[in-house]
Amino acid sequence: MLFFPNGVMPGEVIDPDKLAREFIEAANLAGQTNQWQWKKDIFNTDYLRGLDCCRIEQSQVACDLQSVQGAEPILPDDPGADSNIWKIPFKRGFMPMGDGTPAGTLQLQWTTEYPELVLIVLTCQYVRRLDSSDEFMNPGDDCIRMQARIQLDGAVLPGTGPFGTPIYTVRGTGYAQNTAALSTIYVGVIPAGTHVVQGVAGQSDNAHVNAETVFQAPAPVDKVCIGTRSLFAVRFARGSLLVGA
Amino acid sequence: MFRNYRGRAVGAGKIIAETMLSDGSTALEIENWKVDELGVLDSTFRLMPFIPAEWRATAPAPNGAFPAPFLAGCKAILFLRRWGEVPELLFLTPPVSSGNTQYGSVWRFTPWTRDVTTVYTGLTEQRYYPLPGSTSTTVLMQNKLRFPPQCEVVGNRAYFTFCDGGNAWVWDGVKCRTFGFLQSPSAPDVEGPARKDDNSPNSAGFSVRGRVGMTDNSFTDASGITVGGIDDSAYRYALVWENEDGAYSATSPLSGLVTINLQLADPTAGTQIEEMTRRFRIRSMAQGASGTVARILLRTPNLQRIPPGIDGSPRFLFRIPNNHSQEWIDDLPDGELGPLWEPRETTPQGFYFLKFFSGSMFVLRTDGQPSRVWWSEQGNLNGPTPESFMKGHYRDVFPATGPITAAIVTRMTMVQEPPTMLVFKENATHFVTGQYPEWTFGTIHERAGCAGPGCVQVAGDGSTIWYGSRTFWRMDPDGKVTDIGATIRRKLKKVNVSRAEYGVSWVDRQLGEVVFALPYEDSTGNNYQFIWDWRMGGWRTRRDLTDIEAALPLPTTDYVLISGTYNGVKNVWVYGRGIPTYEVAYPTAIYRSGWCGFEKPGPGMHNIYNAHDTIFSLEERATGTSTVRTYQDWSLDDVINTETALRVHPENDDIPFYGTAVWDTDVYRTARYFTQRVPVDVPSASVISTEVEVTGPMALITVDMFGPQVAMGGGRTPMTSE
Repeated sequence: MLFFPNGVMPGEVIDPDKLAREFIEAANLAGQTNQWQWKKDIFNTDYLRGLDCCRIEQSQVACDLQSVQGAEPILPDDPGADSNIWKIPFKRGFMPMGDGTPAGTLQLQWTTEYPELVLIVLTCQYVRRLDSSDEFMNPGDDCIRMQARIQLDGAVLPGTGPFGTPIYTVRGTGYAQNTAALSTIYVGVIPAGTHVVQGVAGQSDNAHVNAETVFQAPAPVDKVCIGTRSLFAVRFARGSLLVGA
Repeated sequence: MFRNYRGRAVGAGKIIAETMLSDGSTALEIENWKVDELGVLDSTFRLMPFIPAEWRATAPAPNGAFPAPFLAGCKAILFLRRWGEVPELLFLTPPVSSGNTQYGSVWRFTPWTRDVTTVYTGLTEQRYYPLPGSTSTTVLMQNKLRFPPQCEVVGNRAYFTFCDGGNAWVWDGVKCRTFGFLQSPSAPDVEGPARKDDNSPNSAGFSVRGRVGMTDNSFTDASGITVGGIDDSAYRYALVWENEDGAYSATSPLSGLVTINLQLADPTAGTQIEEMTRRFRIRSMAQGASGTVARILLRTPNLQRIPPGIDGSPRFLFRIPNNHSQEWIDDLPDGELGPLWEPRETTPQGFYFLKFFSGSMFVLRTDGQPSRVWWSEQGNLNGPTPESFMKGHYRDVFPATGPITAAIVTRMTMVQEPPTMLVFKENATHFVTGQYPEWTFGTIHERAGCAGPGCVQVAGDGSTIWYGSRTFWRMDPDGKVTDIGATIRRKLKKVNVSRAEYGVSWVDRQLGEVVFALPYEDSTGNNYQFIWDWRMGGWRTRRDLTDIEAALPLPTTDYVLISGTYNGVKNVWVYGRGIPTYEVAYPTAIYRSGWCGFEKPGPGMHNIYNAHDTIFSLEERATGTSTVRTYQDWSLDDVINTETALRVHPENDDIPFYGTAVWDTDVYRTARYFTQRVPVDVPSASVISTEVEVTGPMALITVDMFGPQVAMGGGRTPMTSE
């Protein structure tokens, strides 16, 4: 980042070794310079794509939720309407979004030799079929809580989950609306090695409102789903030193 | 050939000594030469501005480029590597104004903000946020500094004082904040139950059913029936602030009492024993200064019924993880109180020096307590906490020897195990060693003082070198202190000691030098460099920059950043680096050999010789010449000969010079050693000094002189006439 030449001045004896030191100094500098050392906005974001300064991983599953302009997504009567709709397992904890096969799971995997700064974003469309025709929950609907998270190397990352209007004005008793577009973001430095990132979600009852026995199969498992979902990670090389060798 | 034709090495010395006779291994003067790894004296000089002229819109003269924050100089440079990786440079400058804008004293090097339209290109001012929110103010150093600003880096934090009697500062990578807590919180206001009437001793006031209070089911009523009840209780509260790095403030005074009165249960009337415990409300919890992130509430146990072995001191009650809430409801019984709270000290006001040693931040000397050191706490939940001081964790270090002037961490094998911190006075040296908090204090030397905090360094050979008490001292790792200024006593007498506390020093690892820049003769700024060469065990000097105020060798590199004036331009420079577009005028380099005779010391030295030849061993450096002068018989006022020597081989015509030689046409080759004869004529002398003066690059290895004997000892030795 800082180029401080040793200086070959006019009139001095040109010693090739000495001359070479200037090139070594410059090569050191060039080798240690990376994108984040440059002035803000010096690169158009278009340039970012495909450059060596970062790698982008992405995984995406699309679902047809019969969403049209002016209407929120709905869960079709027949859960099999789109085979990509994923039903969130009831009371199983966080489960990877997918069909259980590596190919059908929303996940990213890569191997790196260096520590990296990563930005991981999980976005998904939450959709729930309510008994009423109203978009809000009726007292007859089951009270549940749904959470979606990013899982990195088997560990669920702490972070924010979805938030919406609570039921009975008591915060934390469950999400009461029938759709939500969620996004969860993680920024952190991870060590060198192989990493697996998955989108995970889970649902459980809310005992604050009703006893657990209310929720017997099949409800509400069939009705609580994730639609279109996508997971992407931007991997930045960690900055090296500014100073020379 | 002449009889007794002799040759003698006169210019082999790389260090200086003001002696009457030299065997050639010491010189009288070596100014503006450096010695490379092979022992070649080299007068090559490089200097370039740290912020290059290309970062300005209209580039001024190449060596006149400076950003506005450096206009008034730079008093300190500090380096840290945040997260162990991201290098950061901070410059502490006297405040300057540019146009209508006033700038503060703390500047971060931010090369990504270089902007040819601003006057602070590449630098960003670091500000202080005195209040919650985005209102910020500049951090200013005062006009009159008592010593150069002092810095210490621990982890991701930089700590510094301006040595202006003001408070110390912490830079956390984003902003500045004050060091520790200069105030203690006020006592919180508390409210509990009060008597309503005889039957309701705890029903008035803040009377909410809770868990606090001592119930006892063995109480009997007036008729002797066991009914149980609640005992008399009294409690007090106190508050402590916690800042973002985990430092704790001093404990507030204790609050007023909250009490619960004795009351018997009366099951027939419906007053049950489990309904009698209460809660207390704490109000007006003082908010802390900027940087406070939490408040610790403390409470005494029941002061009316203190169990044996407990003294009623406040214990940890609750940590309120914010700095804005005013109220808290206490519902914790005595059994759930945390450990005893150890009281902290208010941060010492206006301390001058700080040194991180053995896990503690040592802060030294205030105006009120000039020989006192305080050390920060270790071992709390946050680990070593540099801004937090336990009550009583200070010591007056041998007050009889005067105020503290400097401190440095070094190694000393003779006292316990390393490391050791030396604490300097104006005329004494003490040490601190041991482990927190059982430090051992002792005295190393009762005469070797240190002039100021910038006048001490640990050399590359493990020894500690410092200037003070009008000379230089060297302490070897065994703790033995020697006066190493003896050979340069005449020069040392010219140091302006009244300004020596502003001296600056640094270690150039590449050159193997410890450099002390001190004010010389009538100068008030540091204009003269005494250079201790730990490989040769001796001194050289340098005179190029004036008003040297700060210097920093960047770790892992051989860059030396230096703040000073050169050719009338005040700036922060990179010392030893340059490029033709930043070519600066050369300082004149002088090599003056010691007073050498043709015989060894002893009776033979009185033989008189005629020196008529000198032969220089050199390495090719550049076109141009140097001036060779000779002196005889201890008189530097009378030049005997003035001759000229080339700086490259005088007879070789295939030397490639930069600027004229053409690649692929001329032969580029490595610089060669060569010898050069310079005829002189010192007709009759017992001792001779040979001087080389050059303004430009030159590489000198040795000087030898030759000549025949012209008189025996005593033959021409002066005497009074009879």
